[in-house]
Amino acid sequence: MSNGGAKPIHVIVLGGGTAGWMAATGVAVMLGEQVRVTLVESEDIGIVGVGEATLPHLRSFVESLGINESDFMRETHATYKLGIDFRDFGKIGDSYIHPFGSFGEELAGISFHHYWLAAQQRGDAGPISDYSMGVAAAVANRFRPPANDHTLGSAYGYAYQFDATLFGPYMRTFAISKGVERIEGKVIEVQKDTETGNVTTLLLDNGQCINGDLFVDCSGFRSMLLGEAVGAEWEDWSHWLPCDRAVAMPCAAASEIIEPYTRAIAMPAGWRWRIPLQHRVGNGYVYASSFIDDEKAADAIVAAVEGTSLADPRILKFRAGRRKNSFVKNVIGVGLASGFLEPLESTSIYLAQMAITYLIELFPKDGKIENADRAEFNRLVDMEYDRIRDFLILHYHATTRDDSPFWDHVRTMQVPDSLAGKIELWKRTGRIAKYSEGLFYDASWIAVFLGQNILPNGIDPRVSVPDPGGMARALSSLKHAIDMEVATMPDHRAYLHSRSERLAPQL
Amino acid sequence: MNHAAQPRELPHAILVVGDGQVGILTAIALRQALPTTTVTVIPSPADHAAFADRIGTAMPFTNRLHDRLGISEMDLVQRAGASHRLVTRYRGWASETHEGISGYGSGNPALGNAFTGHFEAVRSPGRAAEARILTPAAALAATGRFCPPDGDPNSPLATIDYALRWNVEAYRNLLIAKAMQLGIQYAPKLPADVQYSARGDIAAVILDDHAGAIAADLFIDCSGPMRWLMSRMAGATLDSWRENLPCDRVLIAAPGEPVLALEDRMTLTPHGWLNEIGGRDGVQRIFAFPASLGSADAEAHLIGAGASAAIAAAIHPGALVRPFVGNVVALGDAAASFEPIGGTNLDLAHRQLSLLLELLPGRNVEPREREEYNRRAELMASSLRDWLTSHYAALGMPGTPFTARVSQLTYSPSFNLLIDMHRRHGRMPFFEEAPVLPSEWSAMLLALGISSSPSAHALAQSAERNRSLTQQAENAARAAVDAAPPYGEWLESVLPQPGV
Repeated sequence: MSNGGAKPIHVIVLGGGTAGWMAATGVAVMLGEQVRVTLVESEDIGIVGVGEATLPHLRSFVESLGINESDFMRETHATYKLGIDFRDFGKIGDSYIHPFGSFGEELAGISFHHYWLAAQQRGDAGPISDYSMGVAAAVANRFRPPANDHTLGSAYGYAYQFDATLFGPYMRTFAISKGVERIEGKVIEVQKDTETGNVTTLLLDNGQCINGDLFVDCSGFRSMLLGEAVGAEWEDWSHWLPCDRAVAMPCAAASEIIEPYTRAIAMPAGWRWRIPLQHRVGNGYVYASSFIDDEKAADAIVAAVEGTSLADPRILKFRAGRRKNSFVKNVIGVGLASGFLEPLESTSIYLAQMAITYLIELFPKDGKIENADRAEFNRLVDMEYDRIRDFLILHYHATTRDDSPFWDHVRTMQVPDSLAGKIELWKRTGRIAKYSEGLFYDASWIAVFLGQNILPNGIDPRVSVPDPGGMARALSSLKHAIDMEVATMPDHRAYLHSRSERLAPQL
Repeated sequence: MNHAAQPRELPHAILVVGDGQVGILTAIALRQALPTTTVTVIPSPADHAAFADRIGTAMPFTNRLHDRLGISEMDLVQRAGASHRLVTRYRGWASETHEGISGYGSGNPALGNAFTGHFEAVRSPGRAAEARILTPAAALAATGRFCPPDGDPNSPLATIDYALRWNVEAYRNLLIAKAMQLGIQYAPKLPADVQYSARGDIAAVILDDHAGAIAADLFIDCSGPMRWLMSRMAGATLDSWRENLPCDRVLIAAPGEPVLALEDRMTLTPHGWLNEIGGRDGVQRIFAFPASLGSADAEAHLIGAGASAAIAAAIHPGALVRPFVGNVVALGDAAASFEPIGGTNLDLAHRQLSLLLELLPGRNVEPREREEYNRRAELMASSLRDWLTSHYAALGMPGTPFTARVSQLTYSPSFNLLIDMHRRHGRMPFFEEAPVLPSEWSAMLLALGISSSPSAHALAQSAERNRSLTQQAENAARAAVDAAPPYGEWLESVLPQPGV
């Protein structure tokens, strides 16, 4: 449907990284003729592009844009992802998988983990991971898309592990095919309307003047429009999330096995990722520069990787926090320009997607931006960031590690009140504060609490009502059913290779 | 494993104060959850404004709670006069001739918000009442055809959600029979006083007529707005909704003639509103109005509608800031008292009960758990307040006494947000613990004549896609009508003694 012949709203996206091309594509495809989308990028400015692991939400995003999954997987060298294997977080030697999915099933209105905790005390239960389809399939290195019914075969979700440096360009090709105009150039000046304070024009180094109605800032950490031009204040969270650098180094796959999960392995001054793609493995050490220097961090990642390295270690700098407002005047920050949370739970691309989705929902149809729309956008973005922040802090704080100054710091630091309350509720009662909005729900919190050895003192009183023998049998039959179901699933690599259209050519 | 995760001690005894349909269902739910706990019910003094006890209807949530507690819908149909409400018809809210219909459920998820937006977009301004597209529920209500979905996910009736209405006395008797089967204790003595524990919790309730005292670990206040227990707890404070809601007087007529209808009516009058709730044993008529307008017009309206002998109730609209204090939990009208629109008083009671079951305390109440209960109960109450306020957002009858009263209301920030988002973006913000789904809420606003303009995203949909969505919706409505028998026939087929 046309917008009645009115002049389209000119949306300028600044920055051609992952967030920029996602934003340009989303706005252009979802809003059609109401908008004209121009993206300004410079080949001289590198992109961060290390977010190689994603969350299941990305699937609905690419689907709603009309992107074919196989196509997308081939072009980004993607593999399937069932969760994240966290190692050495609660203490050295620990390992647990945070799956896309839950553990067991609710019974008589009481969450499974209460029964499991009681059974475990009696010696009647295996580890909680025995009762999760997502975990069982992941450790077996098996994959098949979940069934679309209410059987066990539907009780997990999946996302992708892909090469983020390829995702941006893939979206670029797609966006241009959908009418997004790309302009090469470096912004040398941002002009504002003296009366309204709105951004009006970007002046480029090649002399071009880019005028627009709405500016989406995807310029990365520099936050050239949101931070610099309209002055959105930064809220620093580095006292809770001290990691401020990463050293990334891809390597060749050292084995035939392609794990359908990402690994996050705790290190003396942070953690490192290991992300299996189709033909290589992404690696990187996320660390706090106040606890380790760059050279030592690079040495550590070189020492840790299993396969032949494919590039020299590359260092990235960042800081945890977000802008107090991400929609100011006529500027909307998406991605790093708006905020940053380290990729411990693969949330970077989700955060960009979330902001784009809210922008589309609240898009000013007639070009006139109401304060109410800015306020609503900022409320939603803050809520998303704040809830993820608490969940990330938990991974560091829930530990007994005292082997390095970094872990001493995060173990003993004062956490936000909002998190302290959630931890205390869990410790006293085994309950999870319930939210239906935001990203991580009860199953995720339970995975991390239990995986990092934070056990509640008290659990639901009703679990002492059923007969323990019956409960033990039910647990054992659930584990058996999960094992049987997983046994019918193909190997991840075999499934991936079963259709050549999703495979990138061998490099 | 540094901690021993032990189940907390089960409560030994729970006392429920209030023996109406809320109190008895609460006792049933608690006893089923805690079969070793002594659960006792005592009556509370009569309270005309205990709407959750007096009005025989709720919302779809109650059907799920009943299922969970083993109270079968068929039993309610066969033994408690239950019938199905698919939609509510709003009359006179946006103009004198206004009519709008809204039902329940998320509808066809494939149609989604884009469809709602389109629905508005294709309606030309002057023809707002001429809704071309019917939902399945509205089509069924209009043709008088329905039978409850049989669980087949492919049935054209599968997506239809509904509320029940019933005969309060018969429903309560059915609950009493179940309570007795479960071994719930009943002490037919009114409470006279309480004994406190050292830390200020209630230790026991002393009964009237020197009938002794009942000690318990947990006390549930189902006494209605008098808050028999809560009014004896320091720390129970009321958040007044007097500035947010206009009505503080309610007349409930004696049941009228039987009405077999799949829709209920909410009619705006110059002095308040009239809710007519269909019923196989008699229509329930409720008139709510501001006290300042006097009851003469209210009575005239009820008499005009054929009703007689009304019960008058005064309400102090508002909710307890913390409905769980010490070891006392207030449910239903004891937790929040407000004008009784469409079964929401009982719906709130049942959602609070469900929350209590989810966060059921052990013998000792954990303060953090109580805080979590209160956090969520407060969200329930505030979003319910906003839902009630929605009815008054755009009254289209200028110059009436009621409109004048409504114009003095103040809106909460969350309400202003939702109405603005609805109007400008066809968007319903998500509210945690809201009484209805976002899609139900926006359907209700549209039915009230509060129009929305389509979102930018809806505007971007192609005419072809919109035509196809329209076609799908019309087909779905037609298929539902084709699949359902006349409602009366269905009823006769399931009633043990076929009706007259």
